[in-house]
Amino acid sequence: MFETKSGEQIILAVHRHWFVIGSKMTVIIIMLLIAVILTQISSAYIPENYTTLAAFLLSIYILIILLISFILWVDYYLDMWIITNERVISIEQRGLFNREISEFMLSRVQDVTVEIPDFFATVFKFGNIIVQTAGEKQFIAKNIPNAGHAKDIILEYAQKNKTGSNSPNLNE
Amino acid sequence: MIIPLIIYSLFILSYVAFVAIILWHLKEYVLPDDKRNLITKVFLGTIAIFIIISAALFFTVPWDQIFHV
Repeated sequence: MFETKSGEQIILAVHRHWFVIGSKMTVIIIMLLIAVILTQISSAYIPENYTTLAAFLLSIYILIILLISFILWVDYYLDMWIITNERVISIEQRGLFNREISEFMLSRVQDVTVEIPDFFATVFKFGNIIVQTAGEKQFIAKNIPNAGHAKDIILEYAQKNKTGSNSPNLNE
Repeated sequence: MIIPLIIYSLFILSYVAFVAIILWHLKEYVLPDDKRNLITKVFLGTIAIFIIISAALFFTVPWDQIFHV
């Protein structure tokens, strides 16, 4: 679990844009529909004894699909960027047991770039944020909703950290 | 009936274990007051309903007739 330091406040916590999970869930729904339609069609041709077996196998198939979509949801849900008034924490869940957490201090931010990679990103208003820090590593947050707003916040608090006035203005 | 019952029981046990692992991850890593937690509850509710449906269907399948054909 992520914990803040004393005097540190979370300014923004962002998951990837809903389009990312929405496109995967659409495929899942299509797979479910195909199975249901195939079961309906085949029930007209198979013996009566086997119709309950077909329904049972369909229920098992739906359970497996549900588990896959639950894992996809958790993978999406646990990926996040947390921007505090002192640092940015990037949490990336890769499957169930592989998790990468990296962070950088806002005072080390040198350059922030927003990239709108494709048609869907333009339509649904999300993009990638690339942060260059004083170290060698480049931080990339992919498919962030309102990437421009997140970039502005990073730059604002990076500036405040460099000038030493990084307390969050809660009236904003 | 015995062999399908054993296979089905093993499937359900491993399934529930997997769901428990996912829930542990969520409990461990989700930020407090995250409203999207509702979606997790919807998933759990749907999974519970389908486990009940599959169990009910399992006991209505005429296993003996199917295996003696």
